[in-house]
Amino acid sequence: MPFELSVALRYIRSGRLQTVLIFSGVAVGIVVFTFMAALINGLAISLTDNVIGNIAHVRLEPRTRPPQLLGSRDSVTPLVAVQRGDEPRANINGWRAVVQMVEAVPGVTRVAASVTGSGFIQRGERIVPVSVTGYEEGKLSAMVDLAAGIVRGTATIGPGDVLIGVGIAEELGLTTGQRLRLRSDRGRERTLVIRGIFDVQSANLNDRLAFTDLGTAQGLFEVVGAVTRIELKVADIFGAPALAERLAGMTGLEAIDWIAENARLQDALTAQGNTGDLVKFFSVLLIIIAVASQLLLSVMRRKPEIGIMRSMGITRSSVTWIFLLQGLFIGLLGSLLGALLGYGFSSVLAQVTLRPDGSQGLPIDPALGEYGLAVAIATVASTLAALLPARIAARTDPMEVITQ
Amino acid sequence: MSDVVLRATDLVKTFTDGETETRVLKGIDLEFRKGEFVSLMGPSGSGKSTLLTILGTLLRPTSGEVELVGKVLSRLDDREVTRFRNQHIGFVFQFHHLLPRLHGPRERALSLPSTTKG
Ligand SMILES: Nc1ncnc2c1ncn2[C@@H]1O[C@H](COP(=O)(O)OP(=O)(O)OP(=O)(O)O)[C@@H](O)[C@H]1O
Ligand SMILES: [Mg+2]
Repeated sequence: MPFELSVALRYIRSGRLQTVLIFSGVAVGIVVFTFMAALINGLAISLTDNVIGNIAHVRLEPRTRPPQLLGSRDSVTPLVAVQRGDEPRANINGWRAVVQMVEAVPGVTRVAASVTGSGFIQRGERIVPVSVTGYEEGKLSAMVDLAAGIVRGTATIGPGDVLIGVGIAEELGLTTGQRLRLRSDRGRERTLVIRGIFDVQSANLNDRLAFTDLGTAQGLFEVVGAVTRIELKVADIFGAPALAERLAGMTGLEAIDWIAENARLQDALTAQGNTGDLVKFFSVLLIIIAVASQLLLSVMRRKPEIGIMRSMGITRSSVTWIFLLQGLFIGLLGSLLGALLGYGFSSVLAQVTLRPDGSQGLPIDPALGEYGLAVAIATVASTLAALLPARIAARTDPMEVITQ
Repeated sequence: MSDVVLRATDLVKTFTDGETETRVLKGIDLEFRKGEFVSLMGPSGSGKSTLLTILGTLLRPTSGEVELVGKVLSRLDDREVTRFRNQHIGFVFQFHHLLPRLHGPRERALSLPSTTKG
């Protein structure tokens, strides 16, 4: 074993309480680092899952064409006011062919055609505006993750059935088995039987979503034989924008991906990530300060020894290495210990906060603690932290020690 | 004569402490031969330790030359002097400058590892 290594190890071993403290300091820093990573990464996945669980990853809709001017004169700029409701409702007419074509595209996992529109449910004096979606038979569960969110009744519906959000049910005092009258913005009315009430963990959605079968929605919104959109789930959710572009080219329809629709989710994830990085940065800073001050103290205490070593012909660079190696060992072993403890801590916390129904209370994912990165950063940081103490040690003049 | 292992010529050492200059060594010439046993005597403060640290390569003289086993010390840089010290010089310190937690044999072993590096 090289001389510098053996002295460095002896110094670490002889530190006793100080050694225990500095290793604990580094380990605690790494516990914070890895816990933060596990929490932020877990949170990002759970938020993304929540959002994409109940929405289409890509939505195909007819392009809305701006009204065309008949004949144009270059010298004048026409000012046109278009009332939204005046446009003809755009439908997808050859939708079965489009569904078949899209289903064959690699990366597309599920496809469902639907008719969507708005309407009202009235009961006595109360009127609740609702957003109604009717899927092809059997496709509702493929698009919306309702099974876990059904609080009453069932998620399977047939013609003449309806599922409503728990917010609507509470507002109107409705329960399963009852009938309700749904009036569309086209003025059509249907009487439907409530088969299920769902809670999708979003007050906004619970207050306004209702699901029917395709035929009912086609009748309500006067789109007989056609659909208003085709919804897709894809295998690679972050590849959705690229896939959407391809599908738009293939079908001639407008393709909207979930990422573009949820810019605020992306902003929130980025902000969260930044917060996590800040905490991680401070935990590394803590490690640097702890290691530097501990080694500086050690250098001061060992000045006489260092002077003797120098007078015996140990070079300045050897002395530098003795302290750099200490920094390296403290960083490496301390952070390995911290990574182990951090994994344990995150796992225990994830377990302890489990809700009785088995869902996660704190969305920590212990597998995403970035342990390798933490150990690498801590080892490098700790070695760099040893640089100043090492230089001071190397500058020790043997005469200082000997003449005293 | 090749059996001269140490030769000092006109060694001068002056300590400057602010404005006061202390001239401790004032032109020392000496020559030690292989196998010789030399003792250096003088009253306290006469400069024995100063001379020995210069001959032992820990301190550089203000002027003059030291030639040890054929090497002129003033021509060696810090690193070379350190190596030289490791290979050729042993100290018995005036006070107990022993390394704590090291036992005699291990302390002596300190001067070996860097010797092997050349
Ligand atoms: N670093 C220094 N700066 C200023 N003066 C010094 C320094 N080192 C030694 N001196 C002075 O040089 C003189 C010689 O000191 P030195 O230690 O060589 O004497 P010595 O002969 O070894 O004495 P002793 O027998 O007490 O050990 C003393 O007057 C001392 O005060
Ligand atoms: Mg003395």
